[in-house]
Amino acid sequence: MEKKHMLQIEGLTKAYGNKIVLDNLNLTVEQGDIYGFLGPNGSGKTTTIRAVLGLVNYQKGNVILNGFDIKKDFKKSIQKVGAVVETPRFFENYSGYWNLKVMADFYDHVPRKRIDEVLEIVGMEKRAKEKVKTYSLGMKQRLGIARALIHSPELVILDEPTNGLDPQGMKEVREMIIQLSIEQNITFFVSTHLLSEVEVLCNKVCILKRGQKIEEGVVKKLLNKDYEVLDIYTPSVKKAMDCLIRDNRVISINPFSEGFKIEVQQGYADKIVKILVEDNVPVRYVIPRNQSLEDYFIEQTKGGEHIA
Amino acid sequence: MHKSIRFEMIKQFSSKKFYVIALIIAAITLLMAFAIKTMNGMDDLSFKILINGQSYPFLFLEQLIDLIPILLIILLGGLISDEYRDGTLKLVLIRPINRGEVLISKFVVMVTSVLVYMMIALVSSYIFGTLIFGWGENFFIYQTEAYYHTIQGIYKTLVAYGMTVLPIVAFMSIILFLSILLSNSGMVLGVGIGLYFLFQILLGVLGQYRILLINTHFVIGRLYILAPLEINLLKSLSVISLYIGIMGLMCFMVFQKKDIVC
Repeated sequence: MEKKHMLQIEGLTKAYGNKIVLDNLNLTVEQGDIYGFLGPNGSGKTTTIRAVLGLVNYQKGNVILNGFDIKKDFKKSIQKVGAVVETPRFFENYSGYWNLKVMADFYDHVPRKRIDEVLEIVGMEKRAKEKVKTYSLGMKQRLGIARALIHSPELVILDEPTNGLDPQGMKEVREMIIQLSIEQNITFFVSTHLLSEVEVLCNKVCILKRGQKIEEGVVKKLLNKDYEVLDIYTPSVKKAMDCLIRDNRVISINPFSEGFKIEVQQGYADKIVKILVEDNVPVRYVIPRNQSLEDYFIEQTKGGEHIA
Repeated sequence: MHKSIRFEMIKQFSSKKFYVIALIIAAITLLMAFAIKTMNGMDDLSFKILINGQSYPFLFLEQLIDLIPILLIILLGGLISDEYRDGTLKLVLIRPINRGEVLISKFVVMVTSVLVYMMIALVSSYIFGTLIFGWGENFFIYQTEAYYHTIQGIYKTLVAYGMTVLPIVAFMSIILFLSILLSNSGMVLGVGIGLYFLFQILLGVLGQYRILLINTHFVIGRLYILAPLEINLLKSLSVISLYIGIMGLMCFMVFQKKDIVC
């Protein structure tokens, strides 16, 4: 059965003057996805999010949220959407609780106990009565997520949700997202410039570069290759390469100063060491290289551009 | 829409700035009453202002119309630009309300603020006027030396204050437009106050065309009571409506197209 489309972007084009910042962008987020929106700084991630939320106008294309075009039916389209755009902003002189309450009042039928619920979800219940200006960045990130969840949305859009957090804070936010996705069936659209974040958090990814989509797909499929890569360290590089180069299961060999990098067909890597030992080639060590999203990104973009 | 209006009202009436300006208005009311009392007490002064508690609010209105636009620029100049700068404007715009509703809410807050400040000025001038000069037997207007019964006096004072609200709102709609356009409350403050003084200068320059300036009509309330036959109420109300209409339309057009990037 086809899943419900929570967000569809069709041919989105946005320019500031003559500078095109989004160029014919297309993507689809399905219900239940944790969708990673990956790109270097300045690639257009935040502009896309602003366009999706109706904060900026765009020249061409359509944005369909929950089945409604945001330009034609903004209120219905945004009704079940929660969002944190860039660093979450608050009315700093008021408490965290007050900030949530005034936003909850924009929706029908959000009970007061929901405020306590979302505060508990993000672990902010003990500091909720204090003024936001006393909060750390991590606490503001959490409160921002709480605010995005206040009206029990079906789709939550988060713009760099782990920005400025320490490793422990990043881990907690990621776990929170996964937990909410599983337990409350919330669909997430998460922009990030962190490849590792997409790998551990997202089931789908769209890679953006200079406002253009480079790739979109299921993360696992993108990383699934029909070959394996090994780095082999040996003092006898030439001899080792001579042993292997004629083997038709070897795809490529590239030497470096202390050894060589070899690409072989899937399932053949373990036989490589055996061949070398049988031919009396001394092997110092062998490092299998798993394809990471970083490798994939660099492969796709021919250079990562500030991707961490 | 009521949700958006309620939200704007909560923000406005819980801000410190609002209460500071209210205190300033009350303090100026008190200081001016003291100044008149002191002046009237000087023996060598040939001209003394005949005043009592029930007449003082009408007299004070003359000073208020010079003062209140500037105070309102300070209060309302950041109505949109401050929120844009602080990134809190987008919090509202990603809720299920459209931009037109947000703008109307801001306009309602602006009108309410003008009304509340006029009310504060009125009440404090009655209180301080009565405390300093005593309530007196009649309402009188020293410029025309006309006397009225207390009830008539209160009615005339209320009408004068009420009518003054209209041109002030029209002027503030220009400030609201600047607040949308400039996205920086410091600039709004500077340009707004500059515009106010420019209008004051133009008053003396434009001759018969001065009717087109909104500040010409700041005195509409006082003039309506002092010399009702000397003013063309229809023309004044038309100019005021035109300002509100044109600025409202411009606010709407610019706000609809504005990219919220902060």
